[in-house]
Amino acid sequence: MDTEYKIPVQTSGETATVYASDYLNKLSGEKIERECRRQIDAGYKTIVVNFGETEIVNSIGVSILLGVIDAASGAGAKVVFSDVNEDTIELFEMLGLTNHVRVN
Amino acid sequence: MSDSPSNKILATVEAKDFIGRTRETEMLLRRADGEAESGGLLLLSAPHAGATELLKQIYDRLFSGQSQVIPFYFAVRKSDKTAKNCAVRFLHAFIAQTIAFRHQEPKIFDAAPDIRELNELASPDDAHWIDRLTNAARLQPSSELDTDSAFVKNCLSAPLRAAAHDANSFVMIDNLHEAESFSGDVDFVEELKEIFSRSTISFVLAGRRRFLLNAVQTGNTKLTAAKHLRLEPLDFSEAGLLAENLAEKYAVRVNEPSRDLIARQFGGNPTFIKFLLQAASQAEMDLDSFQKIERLYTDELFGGRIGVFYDSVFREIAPDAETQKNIVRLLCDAPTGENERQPRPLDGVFKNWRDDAVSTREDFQRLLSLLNTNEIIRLSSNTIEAMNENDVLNDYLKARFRLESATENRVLVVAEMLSDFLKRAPETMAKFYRQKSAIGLREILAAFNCQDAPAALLDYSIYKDKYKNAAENEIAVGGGDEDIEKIRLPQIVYTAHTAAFYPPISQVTDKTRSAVAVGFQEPAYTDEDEVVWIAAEIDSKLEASSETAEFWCDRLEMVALVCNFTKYKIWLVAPEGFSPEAMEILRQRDAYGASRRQAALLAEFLQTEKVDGAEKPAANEYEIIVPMGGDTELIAAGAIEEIARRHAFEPKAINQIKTALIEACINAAEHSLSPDRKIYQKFTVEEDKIIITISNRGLRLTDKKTTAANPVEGRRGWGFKLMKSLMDEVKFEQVDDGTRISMTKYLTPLVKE
Repeated sequence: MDTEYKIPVQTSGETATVYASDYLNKLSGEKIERECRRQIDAGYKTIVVNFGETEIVNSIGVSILLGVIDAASGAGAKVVFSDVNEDTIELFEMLGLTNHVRVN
Repeated sequence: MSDSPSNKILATVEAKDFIGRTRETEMLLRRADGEAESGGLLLLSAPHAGATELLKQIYDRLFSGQSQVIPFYFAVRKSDKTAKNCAVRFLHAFIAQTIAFRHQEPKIFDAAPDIRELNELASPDDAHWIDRLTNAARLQPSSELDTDSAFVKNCLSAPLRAAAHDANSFVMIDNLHEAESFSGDVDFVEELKEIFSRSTISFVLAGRRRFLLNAVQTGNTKLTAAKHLRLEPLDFSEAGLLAENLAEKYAVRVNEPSRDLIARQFGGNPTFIKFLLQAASQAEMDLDSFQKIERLYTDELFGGRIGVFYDSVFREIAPDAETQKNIVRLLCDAPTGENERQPRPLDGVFKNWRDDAVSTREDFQRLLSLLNTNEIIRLSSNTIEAMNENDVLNDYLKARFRLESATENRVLVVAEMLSDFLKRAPETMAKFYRQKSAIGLREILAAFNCQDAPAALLDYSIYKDKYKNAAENEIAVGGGDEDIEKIRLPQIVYTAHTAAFYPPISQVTDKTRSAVAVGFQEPAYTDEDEVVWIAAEIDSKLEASSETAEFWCDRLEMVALVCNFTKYKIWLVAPEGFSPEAMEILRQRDAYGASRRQAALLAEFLQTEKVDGAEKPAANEYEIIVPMGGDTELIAAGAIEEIARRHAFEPKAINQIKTALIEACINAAEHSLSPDRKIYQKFTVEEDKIIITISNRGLRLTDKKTTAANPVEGRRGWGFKLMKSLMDEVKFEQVDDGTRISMTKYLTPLVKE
C-alpha cells in the first residue's frame, strides 16, 4: 500500500468528490478528513467519499469518517459514500455509520 | 592484562559469569594500571548491589594478569569490634596478599600462615620492609589512646611503607560501613582517612553509600579530592541477563516474561535474583510463569533465603527482639488509607519509643543511623521515612508486622500475601512498560537551556497547520531560520517527578510521565525571572479533547497551588495532539499542548538523550511475526488470505477474517507498550475451522488504566466489537505478560444468537 498516497479530488458544482485509497486506516483516514474539511471550508455542500479503490477499512479509519460526517453536519453540508464494496458496507453497518450517511 | 583469570581467587563467580559492571570494572582497572590519576576513589554502593564481588573480580584480574601492582583487598568486619583488631587484620592481610602475589600462589591465603611464617616466605626484595612491619605488629600497645592510635596508624600505613620500597599496591578497602559499629576510642575511619589523604598510591574505599559519603566528608580529615563511583543496582537488561545465566547454571527453566519479572521485581538486586534461582534449583522447580515465581518468592520471604537475609540484617542492626519489633511497627504501622507511608518527625517517634535496649537519645540516634546506612529507612535531619520504593523490604516488613505485631494466623498471612504478589506481578510489568515508553519529560525539560525553540515544537496548532503529515526531513526545526516563530525556553536548574512535589498526582499518572522543572526565564537568576514548568504526558487515542485538557490543567494547577509556584507554565503532551477546542482551553490557561511527535522533535532539537525482547514457533500451523507499525498488519492479512483461500473459505469469510486480524494487530500495537514491538501470529487450520492467535508482549488489556484521567474516548474502541462480529468465536486468553487473543472462523458459518 502506498503510504504517500495523495488524495485525488474532483469538484463539480456544489459537490466535491474525495477518493479514498486502497486501505483506510489512521494515516489515510486523516488525509481524507483533512481534504474533506478543506472542501467543506471551501463551501462545497455535498462531500462524496469514493471508495472505489478501497479494499480494506479498519475501525480507526471508520472513527475518522464519523469525524468528517460531524464536521459536514456542523457546516450544513452532507456526506455521501460511493462505490463502497459489500464487505465495507457490512462493516459500516456494524458500526452504525450507515445511520449517519447515505451509501451509494 | 588478561580479560579473565583462569581460576577464581577471591571472586565467587567466574569472570565470564560476572554480569554487567563493565564501566565500573574498566574504571577500577585503569586506576590500578596507573592510567587514571592516582589517589582515592569512593565506591558508593547501594546495599547488596555487588560492590564486594566487583572488587574481588578486580583483585583476581590484577593477581594473575600483571606483575607491577600488588592487588590488595581488605573487607572491614563487624566482628573486628575495635579499630585495633581491624588494623591488625589489615596488616596481616596486606603482608599475606603481597607474598601470595609475589609467589603467584593464592594457596598462601588458604594456609592462613601467622605473621612469623609470612616473614619467612617473603622474597629477599621485600623481606626488609615486611620484617619492619611485622615487628610493628608484634608490639603490644599500651591502653593509652595515643599509643592505640599510633598502633592503628602503623598497621594501616603498611601499603604506604611498602610503596616507599618500590612495592606498589592497589588498595581496595571494602565494607567500610561496618566500622560504624566499632567500639573503643580510636576511630578506624578517621585513622584511615588521615593516612590515605597523604598518600599518592591508588586506593578504593568501598561501602554503603549513605555511610561512606558522610564519613569522608566529615571529621578531622576530609577526602574531598577523592573521585566518586556510584554502584547502583543492575539495570533491567543486566538483571535479566543475570537471571538467564543463573537459570542456566542452576538448570531452572525461565521464559522471557518470567525472566523480565524477576529482573524487575527485585529491582536489579543481584543478591535476591540469585536467592530465587538457587531456591528454584533446590526445589527442582521451573520459573516459567508469574505464578511459580510468586509462589517461590512467598516461600523465600517466609523463612526462606530472603526472610533469613533480612532477619540477619535486622539482628545485626538491633540484636534485641523488642527493638526489632519496634522498628517493624514503626515502618508498617501507617495510618489506614495511605498508600505510601509519610515521613515521621524524629522527636515524635522517639517520644513514643518504648524499648529498654534503646532508651537514650544517643542509642536511638545510633539505631537510626544503622537503619539508614542499611537503607531500611531514609533519615533526614528531623524525619524518618520508610523506603517505599523497595518492594522486597516492604514485603518482608509487612509479613513480620502481621505475624509478630498483629499476631495474625500465619497460613492466612501467607495466602493473602501470595495473592497480593500474584496481583502485583502484572502491575509491576505494566508500570515498567509505561515507564519505558515515557518520552522522558525530565530529560527534555533539563535540556531547555535558554534555547529559542520553534513554536511548532511546543504548540500543536502551529504544528498541525504546517507539519502534521510532513516527513521528518520536511519539518523545519532548525534554530537558524529567522522566519520561524520561536519560543524562548527557560534555563532549567532542577527537575523532579511531579509526584515528588505533590504525591497525590500519582493517583492519575505514572511517576515518570509528569515532571516539574524549576528554572529562570533568563540566565540572570533573578526573582522576576524565576519560572516553573509543570509537564505531563497524557493518554488519548485521538486528539485530546477539551475535557481532557481541562482535567489535566486543573491537576497541574493544583500542583502549582500546593507548591506555591507563582509563575508557572503547564505543558501537556498527548499522543495525537489536541483538538481545536482543547487548544483553546490551553490558550486560556496559558499552557502549551503538543503531540508526542512534537515532543520527540523537540528532544531532537534540544539534543537530549532518552533512554530507550518472543516465543519460538511450534501440521497445519503457520506462524508469522511482524513488527508493530508501518501497516504491517496488511502483511499478516495477505498471509491469512492466502491460507484461508487454500482451505476453501468463501471470499466473504476471508475478508471478515482479514478485517478481524487487522483489528487485533492494531489493538496489539496501540495499547501494549510492547517491549519488543512485535506481533506474534499463529494460524491453525483444522478440518472445519481456522484459529487465529494474536499475541504481544507488554501491557495486559486488564492493566489498561481507566481512570478519570482517561475521559470517554468516544468513537474509538470498536476493534473488539468488530472482531466479535466478524469471527465466530473470540477469546481473550489469560497470559502473564501482554495480551493473547484467539479468534475462530468456521468453514460453515455458525448461526449467532
